[in-house]
Amino acid sequence: MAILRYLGGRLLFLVPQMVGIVLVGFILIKAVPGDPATLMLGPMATPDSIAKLRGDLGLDKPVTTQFLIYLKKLAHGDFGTSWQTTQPVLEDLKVRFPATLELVTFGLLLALAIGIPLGIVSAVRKTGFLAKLGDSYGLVAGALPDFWLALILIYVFYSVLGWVSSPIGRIDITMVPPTATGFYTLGSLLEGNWAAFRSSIQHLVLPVATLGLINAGPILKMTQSTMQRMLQSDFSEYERLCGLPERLVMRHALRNALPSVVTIVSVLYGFLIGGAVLVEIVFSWGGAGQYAVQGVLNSDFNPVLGFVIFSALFSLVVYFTVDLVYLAIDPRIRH
Amino acid sequence: MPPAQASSSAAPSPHAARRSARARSEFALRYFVQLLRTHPGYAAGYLIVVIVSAVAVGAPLVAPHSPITADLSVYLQPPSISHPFGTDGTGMDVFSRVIFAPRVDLVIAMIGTVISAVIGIAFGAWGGYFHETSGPRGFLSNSMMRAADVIQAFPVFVFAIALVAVIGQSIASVVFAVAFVNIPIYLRLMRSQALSIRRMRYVEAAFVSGMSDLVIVRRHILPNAIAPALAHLSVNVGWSILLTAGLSFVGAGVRAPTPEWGSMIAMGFPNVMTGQWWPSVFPGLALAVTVYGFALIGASIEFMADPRRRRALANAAAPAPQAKS
Amino acid sequence: MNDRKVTRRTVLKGAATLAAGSLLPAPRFSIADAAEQAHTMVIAAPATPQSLDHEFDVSLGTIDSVGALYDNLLEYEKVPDAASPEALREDISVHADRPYNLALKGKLAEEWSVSKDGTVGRFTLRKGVKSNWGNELTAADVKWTWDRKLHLTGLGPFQAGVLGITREDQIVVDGRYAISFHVPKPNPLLLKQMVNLSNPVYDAAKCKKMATADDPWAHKFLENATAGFGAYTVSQLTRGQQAVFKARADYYRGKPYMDTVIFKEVPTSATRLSLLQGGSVDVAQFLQPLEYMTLAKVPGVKIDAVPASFATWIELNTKFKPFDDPRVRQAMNFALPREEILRTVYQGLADKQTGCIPKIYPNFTDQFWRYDTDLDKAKALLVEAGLKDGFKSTLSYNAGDPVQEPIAIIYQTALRKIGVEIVLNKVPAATFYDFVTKREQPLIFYVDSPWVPDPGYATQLYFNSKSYVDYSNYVNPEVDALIKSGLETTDPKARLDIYTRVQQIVMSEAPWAFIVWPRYVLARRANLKGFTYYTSNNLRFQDFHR
Repeated sequence: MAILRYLGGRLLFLVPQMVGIVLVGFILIKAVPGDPATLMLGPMATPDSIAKLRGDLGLDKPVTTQFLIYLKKLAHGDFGTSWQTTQPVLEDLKVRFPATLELVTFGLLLALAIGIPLGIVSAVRKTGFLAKLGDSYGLVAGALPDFWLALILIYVFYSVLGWVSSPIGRIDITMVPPTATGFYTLGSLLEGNWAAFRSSIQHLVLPVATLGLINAGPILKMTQSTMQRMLQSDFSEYERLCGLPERLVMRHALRNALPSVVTIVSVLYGFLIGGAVLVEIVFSWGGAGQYAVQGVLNSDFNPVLGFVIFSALFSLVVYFTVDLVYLAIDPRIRH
Repeated sequence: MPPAQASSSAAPSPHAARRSARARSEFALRYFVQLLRTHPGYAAGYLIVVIVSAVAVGAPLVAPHSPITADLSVYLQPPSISHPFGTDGTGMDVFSRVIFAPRVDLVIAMIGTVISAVIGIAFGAWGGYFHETSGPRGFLSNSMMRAADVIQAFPVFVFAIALVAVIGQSIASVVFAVAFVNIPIYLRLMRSQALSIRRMRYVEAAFVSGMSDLVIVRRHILPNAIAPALAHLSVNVGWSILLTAGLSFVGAGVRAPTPEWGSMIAMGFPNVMTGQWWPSVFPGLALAVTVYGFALIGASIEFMADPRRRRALANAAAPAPQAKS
Repeated sequence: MNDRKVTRRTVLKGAATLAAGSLLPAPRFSIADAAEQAHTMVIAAPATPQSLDHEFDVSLGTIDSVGALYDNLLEYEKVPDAASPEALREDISVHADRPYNLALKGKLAEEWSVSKDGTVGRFTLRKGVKSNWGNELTAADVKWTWDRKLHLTGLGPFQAGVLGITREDQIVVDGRYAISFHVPKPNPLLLKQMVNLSNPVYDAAKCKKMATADDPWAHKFLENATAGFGAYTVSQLTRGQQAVFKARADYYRGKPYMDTVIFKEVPTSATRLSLLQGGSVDVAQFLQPLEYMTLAKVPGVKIDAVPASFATWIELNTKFKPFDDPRVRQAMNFALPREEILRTVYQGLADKQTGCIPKIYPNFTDQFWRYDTDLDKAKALLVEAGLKDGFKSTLSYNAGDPVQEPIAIIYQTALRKIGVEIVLNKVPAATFYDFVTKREQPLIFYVDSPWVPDPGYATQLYFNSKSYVDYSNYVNPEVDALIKSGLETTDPKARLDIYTRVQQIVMSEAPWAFIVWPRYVLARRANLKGFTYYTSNNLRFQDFHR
């Protein structure tokens, strides 16, 4: 019961937080100079037609009124329209958000696959090659600019070696993208379209490698430091004193180290939705971050706000889920 | 950590104070050297940062060419003797530009980090101290935390780009953007530390003895809570350099032709696919190495802040001579 | 350098394929469906069309679509291009021996005439032409199209205004297939405007059906769909990804060779390049000059670089000191290292801009060009203008156009040598057009092309003090009067004299820092033929075949 009240309290907090986020975003975006009406009509337009269009778009009203109008529309699920794509922002995001999500999810999976084992090994073994690798990997990975690494990977694996067919986009351009879900991998599997599946995997290789290699760093560091702490802690000592094999001690330590790893994965997940934008740009991924950046640079307000809301909601959902996971795996919290 | 020296009625003699201060700093230095000897990796980090800073300061003396003069007679030349890193699409020497770039990148990152640290630490200490107290100050503290939440929930990159777009392209606006997105981190670090410290007995004692809130925060909370924030500074500088580079890559960074690693990578980006890799690769390498150096320093500070490891290191060190009287 | 890379890559690729076999990704381009591939054209473009309603959209994707989806009343005859033998171009010269001095061909119109006094243009429409909705072309469609221009507030008023058309009663339906335009003064652009990409004919019957009370001119409908008499229809439009066009079997000129055209959005030019290199696309649009040069060495790929109507220049805003002094503007022109820029930034894929209207346009002359790079002359002019210590200013450029930054940096270095300190201001695409149209910057880049191949049209746009596009704030009443008089007569000799004089004045007053005329470059598969250059700088899919 207490759990439900706690979670319920957290949920309640959501609404004012979201309003705050939208408000900050709105003020910020409106402050960016640039007039969408001029852009839409091009240099040939007369001042009259520009003025009329601004009126149509509602840009001539005071900012506070515009904000309230926006909130009202938002309450009805209307995120507005992007003047660049002339589509409702919700529709645009329905396509782009899964694109980013797919990329970031696979990237994090790879990061976990690299970071956790390396982190464990370097925590258990204080010396040796793998330990040193573990120590420095985190720092090196954190120092590499992700857009630069993406460039290097393209140059090496595409321009020089030619191992990758095309560094651009999510799927071969002659193929029709699968429409089930927004995820090309899942969608093509569901449709039984093996060619599309293979193509989407191929296109994922380089960008996922970029994100995975870099984000393995923080995961590795967290795993390493937490494992070390667990292995040196009292309960581990006690287990060893009782004569438990080191293997079991390690497994228990790992189990206790998991919450921290889950925390950092959740933080990374939330961050990467917007943080993968540079990689998205290099690979022309068509993701949500790219969409938002284009919005800021081109005075297209609605996509930016829509993206901010989506990503904030997503982060909140992730943190919420993480809290639930904690409840599941950590017996202390339950009491 | 032991509490800093509070003002007390029995002041130690000046000689004793100086002697113990000197002894403390001697011990710290010896300990530091021992750390570097046993962990050459950290030494490399310090070395990198020292070299990069020296290069930044001495760039005009070291650079063979001007970093902002276009010379189309040497358009897009591969690395050679006269141009060790080659030239870019306007004939500017990549090596000279890579060397001049830290002046911009380091300055932006350091100033931005310091500003965000100062603001974040000050408000964090204040906010933590007054957390959940009644009255206007408690309310302010809570609102501050909610504001920090909102800023942090905002996608960092989009936020930074928008800030620069609003203020206009200049070094100042990039510094502002970098500082702004980093404030919440220091805010949180200080706040959580302040929260636990304010419960300590000596703080209670100070309060009972009639010290004002401001003095308590300044004298007791700040010095004792500041360690994690300070440890984070170095890593933050590195991350700020990356953010600056990222902003320039998207086109929201410093003005051309100011040498800056991120904008150099962006300018050279189209050329990578056509085979001219050097305008983008070298600045990226310099960038990565510099950030790596700062990260190593940050790791060494983290190491020194951990009492367990400090003890292990001290035990491994040769016995230090006693402080002279 | 590039030869080496190709060889190494080929070798390594071969070795890798042998070694890893099935683990490797599939080959880049399967030749399996060769026949189907032949009739499909895949274009890698910077962006998909935004709105298909050209009244409100001049984006690259849209103008490439409009040329295929809609047809005009008239077109120019085609002649081979001198520089690229496999390419064609419009014949826009003044022909003394042809009616109205133009080499025109009928498209939707099969006959046309202009009255002796030059104020009435009559068109007889082709019979039996069906729209993509099955409606027959009649004069009512033309009337509705032009009425629409007068009622909407996009490009329409400008296009109609060029002809002096401001009222619906100036467009008269004379019969089921006959329509006439009544203009107040003799207008040399009467026929040329009917060729202009901006003035195709809509299927009024369908549009009227799709109109609503709030949207009587079917703007919403035309944003995403076609109602016209062109060679293609749009079968799929996923903005941000791709647009798919299908050929019309009932197109009145016969079904085009290319049955399907896939217009793929690939925002980065480097990746458009790689797609063409790898064989995944037929055309890679709008690449950077260096990228084009890389392609020149790739087998199976060809580059057609034809002189075009584009120009790149820097507006010298005459409202700002010291650019109000023509000597300073001339000095700015003498200081610009044009030849170097041409050689390096443009890799030779452009021509030195030696005049104020496109070189390919009738009545163009370069006899008034004297600004070849000469720093001494520049310095002398500054001294004459009382600025021997130089001055400071700011140059704004478009972040979205990769050639502008290097040119700006090069110009900055050159100007420094004569004591002029320029601060560079990189502006994101959105704010850039704002800056340009507000005319509040002392120096700003601009890239544009006047679509109608006519000296009056071109000079009217940029040098008439009342024009919306006179971004340099250039004011000269004599020029205004000359341009106006040239637009009110159809006498070719008179016009030649008028516009020669206009060019003489404008070139000496130099409101622009003239840079280059970039060529229109098409990077295509070698087996793709039929490329035709239009002064509206777009592709028309129906031209292509293998």
